[in-house]
Amino acid sequence: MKRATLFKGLSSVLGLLFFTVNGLTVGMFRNEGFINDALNITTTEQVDKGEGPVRYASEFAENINKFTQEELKAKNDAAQAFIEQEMEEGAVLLKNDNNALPLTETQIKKVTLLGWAAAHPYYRAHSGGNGTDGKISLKDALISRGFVINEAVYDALAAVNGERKNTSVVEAPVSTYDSLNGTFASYNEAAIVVLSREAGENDDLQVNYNDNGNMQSMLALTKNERDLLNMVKQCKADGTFKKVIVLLNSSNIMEVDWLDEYDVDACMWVGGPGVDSGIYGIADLLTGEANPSGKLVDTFSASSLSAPAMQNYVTAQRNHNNNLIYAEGIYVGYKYYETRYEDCILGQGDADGSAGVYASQGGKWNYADEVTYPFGYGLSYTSFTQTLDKVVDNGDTLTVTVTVTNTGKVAGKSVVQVYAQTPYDDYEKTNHVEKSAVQLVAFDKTEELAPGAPQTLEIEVDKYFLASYDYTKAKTYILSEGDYYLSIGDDAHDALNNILAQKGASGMTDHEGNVVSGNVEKVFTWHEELDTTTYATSATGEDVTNRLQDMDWNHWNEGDVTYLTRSNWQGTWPKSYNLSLTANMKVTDMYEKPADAPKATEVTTDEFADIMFAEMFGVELDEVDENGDNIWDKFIDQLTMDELISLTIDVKGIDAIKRLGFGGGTNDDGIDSVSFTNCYVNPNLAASSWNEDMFLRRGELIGEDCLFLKLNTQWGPGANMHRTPFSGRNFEYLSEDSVLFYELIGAQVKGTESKGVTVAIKHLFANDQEENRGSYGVYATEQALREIYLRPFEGAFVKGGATTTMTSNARVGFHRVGEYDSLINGILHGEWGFYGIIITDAGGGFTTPQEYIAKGGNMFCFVSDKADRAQKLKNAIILKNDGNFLNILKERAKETLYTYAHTNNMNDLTRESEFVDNYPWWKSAMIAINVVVGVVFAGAVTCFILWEYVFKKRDKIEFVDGDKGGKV
Amino acid sequence: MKILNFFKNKPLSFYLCLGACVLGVVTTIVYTAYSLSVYGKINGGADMGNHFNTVVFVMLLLGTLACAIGVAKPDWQFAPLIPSLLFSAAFGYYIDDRLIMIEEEINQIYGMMESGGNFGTVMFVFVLMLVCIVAVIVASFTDGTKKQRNANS
Repeated sequence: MKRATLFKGLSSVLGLLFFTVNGLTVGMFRNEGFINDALNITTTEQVDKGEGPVRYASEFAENINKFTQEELKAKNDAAQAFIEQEMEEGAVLLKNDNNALPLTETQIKKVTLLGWAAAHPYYRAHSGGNGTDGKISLKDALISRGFVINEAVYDALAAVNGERKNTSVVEAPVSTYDSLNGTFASYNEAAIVVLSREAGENDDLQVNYNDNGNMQSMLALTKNERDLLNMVKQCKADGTFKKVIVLLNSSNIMEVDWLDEYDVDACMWVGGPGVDSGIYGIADLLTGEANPSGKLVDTFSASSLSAPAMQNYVTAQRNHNNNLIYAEGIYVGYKYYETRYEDCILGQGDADGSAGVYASQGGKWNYADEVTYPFGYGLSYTSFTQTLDKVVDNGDTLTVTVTVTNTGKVAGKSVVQVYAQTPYDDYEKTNHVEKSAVQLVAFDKTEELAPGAPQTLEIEVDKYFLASYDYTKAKTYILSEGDYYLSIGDDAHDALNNILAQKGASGMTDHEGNVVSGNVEKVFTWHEELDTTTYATSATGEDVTNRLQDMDWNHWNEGDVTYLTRSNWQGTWPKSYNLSLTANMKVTDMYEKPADAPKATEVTTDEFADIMFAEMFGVELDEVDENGDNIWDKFIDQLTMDELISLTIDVKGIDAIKRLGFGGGTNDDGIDSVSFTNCYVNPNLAASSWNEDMFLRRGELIGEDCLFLKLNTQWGPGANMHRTPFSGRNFEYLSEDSVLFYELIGAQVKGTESKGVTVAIKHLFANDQEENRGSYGVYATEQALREIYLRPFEGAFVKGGATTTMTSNARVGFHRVGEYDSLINGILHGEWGFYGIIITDAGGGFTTPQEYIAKGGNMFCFVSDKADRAQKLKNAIILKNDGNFLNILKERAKETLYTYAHTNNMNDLTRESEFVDNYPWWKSAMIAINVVVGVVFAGAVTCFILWEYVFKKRDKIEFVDGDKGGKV
Repeated sequence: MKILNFFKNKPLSFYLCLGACVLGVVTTIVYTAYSLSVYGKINGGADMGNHFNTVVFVMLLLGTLACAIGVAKPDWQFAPLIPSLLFSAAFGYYIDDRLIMIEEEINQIYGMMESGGNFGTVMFVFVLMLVCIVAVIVASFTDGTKKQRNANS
């Protein structure tokens, strides 16, 4: 091959290499925030680390600014022990015939694990924070507790490949066990069958799942699972297996009305244990080292399709024009099943008709057929009695005194659940104030009680939770006039039966259909007059009144939507709506530069006052200096326009303003932890503990994790609802009940914020499913929105004091969340008193930058178009000479920096603190690779040109010259 | 017959450039049709328009046209080098363009920073581009002339 040809070929190869590397480099540089985050690189570093003050202390480190490895280990050990306890208190024992569980010391020596998930457990779904791969296998967890398992079967299951995800259920075909049946006899004390499902961010489970040609709910058993259970049933029938135990390893509630059909002795819902030590808790529960005390946070319905919300749930198979009508109103989860049950018992509202029948026999709706396990249900290895000692009405609150006694043989904890029924009479029916027949209003959990030991709990019930939002007449929360019932119960259904007994009803049944009579001793009744004022003003002094009417479709088009009402179950059973926006449904309050707006040049910026960020610690918003000037305003006046804009743009962190001693804001994503540290159990599993103290501790430990990582912000926890069982992120959200959610998330937030971490509650709000999450708009009555979908956020902000929130990408009505003035300024700031950072969802969110900032937004999350976005904001000021918008930007900056000034960002920070840029090593490496490849490439091209066109030409000239007598 | 004669006794680079040219047309059409037909959103939220990238399109188109030089003048030594660089540029900038998608697909979170794309189709476009590039790279390793022995046979 000629040299020129060789260089030409090499040039082509090197050209490909160069452009590949170069394209990759350009892409990496454009998304440097993601890469820095993945590599845990900070771009600004404090020079004098470890010498400054500790403003947010760790309980594990003497000086968190220079913690030791031993202190770090102590924190992690405490967290791992806590995570295990979360698992133990969160798992819910659903069935335990003949005390099949716990297994004895002898029994655990002969166990066969079955089901693909036994070797491939579900740990957590994919989303922000930690990954999905568990660090400890179920096998290892069991062995660590003395189990001896059937290795041959385990190995066979481990060898079966599959990818469990929102579009596929993986189960080993029953033929996997064909050659292994002979091993069962040696491990026959218990067959432990593990079944799982896995959804995730952006990935709802499938409503119409194709299981070998059979279209079904993904939460129903698949053919392979049925085959497996049949095989196990057969083995139990022929005496091979002595007992069958099913573990439901799924954060989405599966259909389990088949437990008796397959002769299952015991069943435990273990949810998602997280990727760390949670899985050890399962082993402890099986051995009895831990006694289950978890209670369901969602109703286990026989059919996953039976909730009225399923009629208007976006799926690829249904076209709702992306206008999603929450036509079920307040009847979400147990509030639907229990209310319909009461109406069946009392013969009202045509409740026992055929509308909404999914599992009932004979075409008439029947509770015991439709519900497998009610909300709040959960067994223990011991038994308890709960007596309602007294209830004291304090005016705005009720104090409920309950004595719990362990009447069994082993120690355990018991949850006291307090439910209420409020009047549903003419006023409510006339004014569309819907009422659940029973609603959780308070709860508490005992300490671990030894056999025979009692504990008396005093539980405070806030009457606010008894109030209903009347959006038609009073246009605020009301306490209805009439008789009120308050009952304790083992679960929502049990409590309702007690109330029904008090009301003199008959024909009640438990969830299995057995006739029960209820217990009036557990019920307290009293009377209230109509009260439309007590809850018409929030704690901030703001009127609590209609603010979300734009989200009620009927507000714009009267009569288009029929919301479900218990006064007419048949006539109002939700239709599947496919509505298009009408011309009047549009945003009309877009930001315009006011006529009297100052010129941008008239607004003070870049006015140095020699105030460093460290000096802003502890400075309140209204604090003034010796000249009477507001200190925060003076601090903000020091910022340039570019600096103000930089504070709105997050690229997995906020840029430093080094000259003012602000080292930048740090943050990380995760609802069960943040990255690079401990992973707590899935939030809905933690919620099943019904243990507020544990949630406070969970929050504190997550706060500790952030302290050690010096993370200022945690993007989590989540406060969206379990509206249906299919949401990809149900594992992130706590429950179908908004009061349980309110209390638990409030406690967690309090814990984390106490460690100097601002928690970003996500995703504000009504982001209750993943499919089309950026394009659908939610429509509902203001009653449903306030009582169900906003309440968890209210708990996080009002009870917990959260100082950041992340907006949803879903629309609320036709508004973008961050740009919905009456939500952001009316409710969030106004009614709830929120002061902090409002950040979009990742990618900059569903926003118009200027509009978002103008309406109250502070920050665009995790953007990949930093420069463009900054320019848009700059243009909004400069091109229109809009000083008003510049002032708004200053207010946003104040909210942002005030929030950071109340985080661990202030740890180690002094007036003298210095910061240096830390150029990421990978950028240097990529530049070097580009230069080297580029030079070699250019060299090859040059060589080709030289040999092909210069040397060759010269040779020809020399040849020609030679012809003339020259040298050849 | 004249057309058939045109294809006879041509050097290897001629056929490779011709193949790359045809495939380049196909790739350009597939890329354009696909990228104009899918609409993305940032995290399912803010519209980011369709997935069409002008730089990638122009490089593909120019690469395809440049292949015609290798077809028309296979003995021009630089003929296959030009399309190889243009196709490589298209390939490189398509990597830049699709980096987030690839990252999200690997992490099973596609839809967070972008949505609307079809990973399979994107990979198909990458493969088409690569085939074009490999063809002209191989052509670059030839001298673009028919060997005399072959010419006489």
